[in-house]
Amino acid sequence: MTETTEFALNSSLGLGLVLLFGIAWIAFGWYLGRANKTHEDFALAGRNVGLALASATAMATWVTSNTTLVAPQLTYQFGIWGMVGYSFAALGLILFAPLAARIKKLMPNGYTSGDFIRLRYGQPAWWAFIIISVIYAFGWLISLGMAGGILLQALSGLDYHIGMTAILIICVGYTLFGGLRAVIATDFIQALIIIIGVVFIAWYLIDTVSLESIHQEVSANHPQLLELLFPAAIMFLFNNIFFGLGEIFHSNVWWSRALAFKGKVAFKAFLLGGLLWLPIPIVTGFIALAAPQLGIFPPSADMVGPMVAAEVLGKAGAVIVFIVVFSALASSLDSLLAATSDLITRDIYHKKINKQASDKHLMRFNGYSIVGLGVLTWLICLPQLATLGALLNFAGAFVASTIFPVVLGLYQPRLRGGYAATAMVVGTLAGLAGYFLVGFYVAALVSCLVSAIICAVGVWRCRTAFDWQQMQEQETNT
Amino acid sequence: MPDPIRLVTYTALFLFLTLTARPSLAYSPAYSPAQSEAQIKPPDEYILGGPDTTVREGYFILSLDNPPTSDLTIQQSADADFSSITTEFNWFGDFSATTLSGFADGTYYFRVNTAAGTSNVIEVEVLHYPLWQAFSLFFAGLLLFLIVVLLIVRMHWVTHDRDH
Repeated sequence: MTETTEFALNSSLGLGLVLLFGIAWIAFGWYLGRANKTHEDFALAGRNVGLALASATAMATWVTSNTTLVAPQLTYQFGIWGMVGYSFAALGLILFAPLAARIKKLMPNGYTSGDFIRLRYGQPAWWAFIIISVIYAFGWLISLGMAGGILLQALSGLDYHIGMTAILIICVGYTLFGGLRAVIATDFIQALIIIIGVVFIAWYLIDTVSLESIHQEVSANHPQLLELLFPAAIMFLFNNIFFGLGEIFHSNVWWSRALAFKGKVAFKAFLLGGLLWLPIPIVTGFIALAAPQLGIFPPSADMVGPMVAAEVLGKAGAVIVFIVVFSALASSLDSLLAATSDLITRDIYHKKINKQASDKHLMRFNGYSIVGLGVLTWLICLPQLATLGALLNFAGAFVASTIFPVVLGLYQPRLRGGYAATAMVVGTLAGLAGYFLVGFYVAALVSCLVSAIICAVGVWRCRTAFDWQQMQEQETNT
Repeated sequence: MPDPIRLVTYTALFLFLTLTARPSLAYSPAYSPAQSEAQIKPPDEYILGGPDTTVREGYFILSLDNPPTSDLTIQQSADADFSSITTEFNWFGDFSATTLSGFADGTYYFRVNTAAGTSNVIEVEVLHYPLWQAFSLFFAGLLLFLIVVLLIVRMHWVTHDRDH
């Protein structure tokens, strides 16, 4: 194989970069983790995160495999609509800004999104919510683990399993040592790397491969990519928006941040994070449009972004791409590990299994949860069953059903738990039916629509109002 | 929390063992970096595969039964006999699949081409979803999205005014 192997990095360099980053991030996590004295420090960074770190973590966490790998994938599949439509996922962060302020106001001492659902809606709704949360968290964790493997394979030809294993070990390592404090601090550095790297790649690409030549090639041989009336892309647009809203509104990744941010920082941080995020999918997606002009037709659409960037920028560029995408993946993977382990520790272990657990015991259990999640994700990632896009869109049916129960639950006292639980369960089932019977592009939309109708009936029929004071819960651990 | 020193040691060992281990596939002949001309597979042995059903989104995957061992291209034509070749796509690396996208409605024919000849021909039919279906979902989504936005903005201002 001399002519057909065109990887930008050799396997040794790929491995070297992984080891370098792994050691640096784990050491940094350990350094930051020394300040964690209580479970609150570990899980919520002492509830004292300022605006700069808060905005950076909001933006960096949302820049993930979605933006660096799936945005080019969707552009390669859906053209202009793919990248513009994907950038609308920023609306999730922007619309979460007022919700975050409300969360902080209602639950100044809360820990997780599960806490909110349990106190606001009761046990049946909590069960529905926790199942949706866990399924979604695993879907996202798996997609991130897979993305690490795909990234290394696309850039260096290194076996998928090695890249996937490496990113999981690294993120589990520094999240375990540093908790949310390390997650947020690394997110800040990773956000800077992502912004600088993405802007550099896009500028270099336009400078090297002219816009005219890209337009000419795509118009001649792939005309549908420039077509504004592209049916599948039009159908995908709002489905993607509802998927993004569902992901952010329900996930403890964002709730734990809202609760960790200092004072009134949450509103501004999510608004700023969303605005900073908005142009990133446009830039990363645009890269994919250059693929046909460069003669790159990837084996799997989710590999197109790294392959184009590496082709244009050569070996040095491939290193930059590697660092940017690796940072993006790590910034999301660590957040998800931290938030999901909080959910398991707080909502399941502390509230259901061991109510008398001490603070130290909870902190230790949180660490074990992080390791357990990492191992389970690794096992599920091994067979590489689906493309990233397919995996994520499946999760859309679950998370979109939580949009109205969460929004109304935060503001509207007349929605009761029975209706909220029904909305989540029936909405999810309807979304899954849409996914299998019609296509992935309706799953989140159908799920949200059905859930909205049930919630509207619930508000309309309810005659009693929820007492917001019930949101204040006394802690039992010492 | 586990003992940090022990955990660092185990993590470093695990990283070392995992990352230095080469997958068994790397030692198979198909992945060997130095193959002789005699080992290059004749083109008529490549079997090109494509989508089994009508393509509704304009993108699809073409696959080979085995990873390529030399440079090859995919030829596209509007006719099954390839009387005129519309365009050619390079096959990337030694992957056994390639994704093509951006196709308008129509019937397309593909085959593999190497220096020594061509493979079997496959037919791909592209038929996009009807626009009425696309716009129905678009406007349903738009309406629902506006409801979510108005709900959040209105309730945020109501609670904001009440709190202040």
